Amino acid sequence: MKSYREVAGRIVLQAEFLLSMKARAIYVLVVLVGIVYSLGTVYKAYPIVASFGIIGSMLLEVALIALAAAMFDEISDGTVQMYLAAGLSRLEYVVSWFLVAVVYPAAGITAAMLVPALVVDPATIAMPIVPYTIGGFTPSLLIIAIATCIQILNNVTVALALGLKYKSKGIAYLVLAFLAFLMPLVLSMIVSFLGALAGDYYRYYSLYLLMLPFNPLYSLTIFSSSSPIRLSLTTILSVPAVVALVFFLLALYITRRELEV
Amino acid sequence: MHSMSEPVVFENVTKIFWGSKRVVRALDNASFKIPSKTVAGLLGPNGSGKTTSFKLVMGFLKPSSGKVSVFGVDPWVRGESVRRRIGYLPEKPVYPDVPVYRYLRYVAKVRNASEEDVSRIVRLVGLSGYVWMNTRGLSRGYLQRLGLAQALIGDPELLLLDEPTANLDPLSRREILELIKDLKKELGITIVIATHILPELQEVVDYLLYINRGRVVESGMLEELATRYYVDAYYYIEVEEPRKLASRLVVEDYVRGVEIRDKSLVVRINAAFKEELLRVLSLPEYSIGIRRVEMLTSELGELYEKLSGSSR
Ligand SMILES: Nc1ncnc2c1ncn2[C@@H]1O[C@H](COP(=O)(O)OP(=O)(O)OP(=O)(O)O)[C@@H](O)[C@H]1O
Ligand SMILES: [Mg+2]
Repeated sequence: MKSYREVAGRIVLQAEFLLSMKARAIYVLVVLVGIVYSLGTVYKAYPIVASFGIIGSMLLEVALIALAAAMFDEISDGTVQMYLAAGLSRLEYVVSWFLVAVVYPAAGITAAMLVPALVVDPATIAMPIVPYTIGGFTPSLLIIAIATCIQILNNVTVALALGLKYKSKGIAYLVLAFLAFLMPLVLSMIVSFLGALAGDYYRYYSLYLLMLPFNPLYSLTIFSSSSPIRLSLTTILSVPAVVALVFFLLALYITRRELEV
Repeated sequence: MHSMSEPVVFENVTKIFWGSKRVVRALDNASFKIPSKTVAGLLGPNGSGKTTSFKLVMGFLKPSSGKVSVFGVDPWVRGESVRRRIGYLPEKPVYPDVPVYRYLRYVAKVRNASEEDVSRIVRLVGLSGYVWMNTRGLSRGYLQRLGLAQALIGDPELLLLDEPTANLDPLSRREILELIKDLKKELGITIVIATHILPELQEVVDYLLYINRGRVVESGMLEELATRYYVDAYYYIEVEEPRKLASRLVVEDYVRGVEIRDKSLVVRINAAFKEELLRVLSLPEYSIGIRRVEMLTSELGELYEKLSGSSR
């Protein structure tokens, strides 16, 4: 009978080992971005908060893919063989990378966004983070922190899973660039362009639904109270969370079935 | 159970690499077994599938068809339990970029081995002065020692050594070979060595597996193959009066050489004449003083040439 405790122990041990080698700088960045965000909100430094909001999370995602790219390097240069030879399973190895490049950072930034605010003034985390509304909708620091966490989990997981499928960090970078930058940009251009042609901006608004499975931070503003399509907060947060889970399971399946090292 | 006597069993294993330009059959319907507690030499020219075989044993690769079983289980499916019982020295190892002691301690943790085990092995392979160095800063010879060290942690039952003496200077080469000889004496360990460097292998192997273009050309105990292919073999004979026996043996025309030692003889003969030798030794006037007869080794180089000749 397989002991799940032992498996978990090895995954954490491996994650610790990987962390000690590669991730320090990126983790410092994660915590810094979170703290700036948090204190910016508490002390009402809105320009800082606004600029960190979306750009900060995008940059973090890119940094995390750059970190996860080390996994693909380990697979192609053969370092992974030494880990497996020590006695790890392929699954344990991949899961430990998910911990290092996805789960820990997502949890880290959420904590870094909430904890300082909680310490300075607990009330701030439930208050709207900007005094003026975005499309009539004013998410609180708590909601933004949760959305950031889910978005990182989602985008990095999808990029890693597809990268694993093709054993290519290039694919992982491409998928992430698509989810984090290109899709929002291109969709808004298409919607505005088609809208302008039709003389009705809201005509093609439903195209934005394509972003729902991947982009809770954008969805928060796009599907707010004043838009023609209105979605509940639960939908906006749970759909990408479920998508992240599905892609994580896909990554495990690929690892188990076909990942040769 | 059969897995007890044969830790590694390949049954009609084919491994195909689907490249973009070229499809390579690295193993082609290969079937073989490695007997337990032997030192097996895995021989074959470049690109014959030696490293691929090791990777299949380790569960790094999935066989395209056929069945690989290691300790009775499929390493592709249940690799981790199998690998913890194997020590693997890769052909071109790439180590994590950390100090040697950090890496070895990590291996020990994964394998549930102790810190003392690590220190013992570090001394055994001659890595003592280098534990604080980063793995990437080691010279090739010391990298090879590190490779042996990580393979030996946790008392593996099966050792897979892919070109263990490559990149070593003659002295280090000797040391590593002596180490392998010592390991051989340990109870219950099976060693498979893939190599081209035959003369030194000769001293340690007792089982041979010869593959070419992914096919198993020949396999068997060294003694059996030496006999079958008429190559020279060395017999060690422990005897009360070596000189007397020596003078009797030199007159036999299949005897190529006799070396007298203290209370023993090393006789070089064409292995095909083993029976003749044994007949002489069983003659009443000699057999009384004889305490032990054992084949030491045979001319691997000669055997290798004959095998590669036969596989063309
Ligand atoms: N990952 C791979 N992708 C494509 N082809 C491969 C791969 N690994 C091995 N091969 C091919 O499979 C064949 C067998 O290779 P293998 O490394 O097993 O040979 P080998 O017997 O170890 O050779 P050598 O003595 O040179 O180490 C070679 O033709 C090699 O090019
Ligand atoms: Mg090789």
